[in-house]
Amino acid sequence: MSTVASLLHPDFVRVGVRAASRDDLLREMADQLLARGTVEPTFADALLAREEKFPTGLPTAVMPVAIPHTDPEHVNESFLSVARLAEPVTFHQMGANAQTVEVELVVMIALADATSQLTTLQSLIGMFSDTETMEALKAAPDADALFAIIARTIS
Amino acid sequence: MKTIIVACGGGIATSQTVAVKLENLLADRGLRGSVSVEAININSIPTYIKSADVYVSIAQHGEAQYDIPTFSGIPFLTGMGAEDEFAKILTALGEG
Repeated sequence: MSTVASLLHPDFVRVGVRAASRDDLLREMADQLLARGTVEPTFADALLAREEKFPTGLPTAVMPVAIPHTDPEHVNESFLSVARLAEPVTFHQMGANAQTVEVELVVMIALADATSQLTTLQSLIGMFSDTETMEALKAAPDADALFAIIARTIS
Repeated sequence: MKTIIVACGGGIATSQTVAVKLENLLADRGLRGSVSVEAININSIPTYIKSADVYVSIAQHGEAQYDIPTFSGIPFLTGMGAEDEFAKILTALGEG
């Protein structure tokens, strides 16, 4: 199995996700990973604390994204969890905490090792500045289509 | 050899991603051999800042100020304004 395939699982790539707040959303996504045992019970709190201190909202040309993540010690098995939201959720902006962004796509990065997936991370970050791919992610009709675009982009 | 340091809050994954992006941009201009890029943890800045020429920050603005030219790493994550920010970095390095 390739590195990329091991980072993506169809259950962790969803569209139409609804959440009342950023914290509700992050906790729901973290709980889903916890239910599969890919993260430790400490993951959710660590993720939320980190998001508070070092926010991860990023404006991009097509739609604002967020890349919540935390330290590898809270992760058992590396996965991305992707949620395209039914309604935007307010995040604070990375590098400019006072500013907020209305996030439409969340890519939670749960890595068991901070450095071994660097190439994948670069491809992922590169995806955010690729207008064509971002338009495709925004327009993808369902989770399968979203999964296929991300898998192709980061492989 | 000039040195750029890149730091993000806590982890290192984001700063490494920005560092590689900067390395690629430097390589495009044939500067790969004359400028090195190091991704570091934000807590290591005091150690590295003395030998660095430019600091590219991904942590919160205003968290701490240093005496060397400081730029934002965010454009290299979003793609928006990356060329402008890179041009400023080159100027600060005397390579513009």
